[in-house]
Amino acid sequence: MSSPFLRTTAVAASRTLMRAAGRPGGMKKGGTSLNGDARNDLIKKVLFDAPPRPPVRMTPEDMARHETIERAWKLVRQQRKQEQTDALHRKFEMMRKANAELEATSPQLFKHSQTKERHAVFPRQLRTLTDTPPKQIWNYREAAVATPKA
Amino acid sequence: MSLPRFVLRASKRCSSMTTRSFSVNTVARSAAEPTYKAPALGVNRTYDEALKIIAEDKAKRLADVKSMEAKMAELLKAAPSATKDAEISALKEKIFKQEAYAEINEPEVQWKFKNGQIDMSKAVFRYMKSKQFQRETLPIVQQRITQMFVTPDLLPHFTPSLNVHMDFGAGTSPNVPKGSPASSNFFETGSFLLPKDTIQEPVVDVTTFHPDQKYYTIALIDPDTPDVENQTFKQQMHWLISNVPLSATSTKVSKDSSDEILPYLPPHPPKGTTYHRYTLVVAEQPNGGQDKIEMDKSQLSRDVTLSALCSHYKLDVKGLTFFRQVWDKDVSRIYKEVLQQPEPVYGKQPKVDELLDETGQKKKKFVNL
Repeated sequence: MSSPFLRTTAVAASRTLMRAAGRPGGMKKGGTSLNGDARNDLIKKVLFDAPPRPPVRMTPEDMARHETIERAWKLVRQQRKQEQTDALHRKFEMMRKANAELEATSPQLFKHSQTKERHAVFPRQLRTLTDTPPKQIWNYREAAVATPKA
Repeated sequence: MSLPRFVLRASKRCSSMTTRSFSVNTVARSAAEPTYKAPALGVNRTYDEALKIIAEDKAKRLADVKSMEAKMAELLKAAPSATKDAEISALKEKIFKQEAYAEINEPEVQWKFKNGQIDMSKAVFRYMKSKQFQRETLPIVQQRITQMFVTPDLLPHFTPSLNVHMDFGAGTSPNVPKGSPASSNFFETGSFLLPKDTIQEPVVDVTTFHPDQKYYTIALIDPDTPDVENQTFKQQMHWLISNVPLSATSTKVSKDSSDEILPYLPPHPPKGTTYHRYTLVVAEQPNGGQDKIEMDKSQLSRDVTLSALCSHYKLDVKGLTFFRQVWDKDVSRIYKEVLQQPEPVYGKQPKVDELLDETGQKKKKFVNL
């Protein structure tokens, strides 16, 4: 069962059947399916009756090409990573130098720059993070109309 | 649905048969010397682009190697200091890795490594081979060494850094079927071999990963020889060769270029003992393998232990492999023909029956006073 065309034809055939069965509870007469719903049978057919996808077969030449491409892609990723770490190192080094200079010129300012604010909390005014945007988009015009100008 | 499936299966069988005969022909034609054929350009544009990226990277790395070599020349000229040797070795390691990384991504190198056309004088192949050893062979060797207690019995804890193989000839390996080609006499560390197969000395093959020549001492030791007097076990030296020159390109151990101190004694596990671990140890000679050593043949006996040898001659064990053997009918033959000495048989002390006297008669219950 390695022909890809067979699979597509089988899927297409079952899809037309599906459309014919259409409505929920269709083809109830003589159906032996679960809960008397013919669609369950069809879904099973679509899911399991189609022949399996043929494995990807490559010629040795194509395989060699594929491996080379994979190696090159790995190389590119490595180079990007290296660039990133180098940039971070440079930034860190500049920061360290600036701090050292500040310490040399004004110890008081340096101490002030190094201490954190004691009671700092996360800004409460920020909108709460959600997985999805809200269904109702904020209507600026309406809001502008609704709020009376003080 | 079932009819087309059947038809297809039949057609597939036919096609597979034809391809099989075709592949046999191609193998026969190319068996003499398979050469690398680069995949054609212009078929897959991603491949062409990948080649460009790899070439760019190679040029960059080679330039880096050049600059590092210049630095190396400067370092060698500089006045000796405390950190000079460490710096030089670190730089050497860096150059080696950069040379290997420069070529490792090339499709030709990968193809050659896969097809066994390995040139160990090149840094790439040395790097790939050592990685392969660490990935595939080392875990097995270390597992066998610890599971079969070679490490505390023969040596303190150590990690092999060389790949050692013994080859006793065709058909001796327990894992390989008899009809397979002669190059596959490889046996896994810790396999059981038969005494009749190990009467002749093996061909020892040591894969090292350094390009320069170093001297090694090679010893075959049996740590399981019974020592009746002390009620324990002792070591027996079955084979001892010193001053073996080895490098990445010359891996075979030959007796012509080295000194055989103790000739090969075939393994002969005596009757009544459990399995013997015949261990082949490869040890680097002093001064990083640069020095030759003179062993006194008259003073060395077969009872010498590995630890004594190592401490006396300042040897550093770098690799080992071993096989196991138990008694077999052929061992009697070895004792008779090769060793020409009576065969010992070991066992437990016979039980003393308290009810019998020395003559084997029943002791008298009552004595007439």
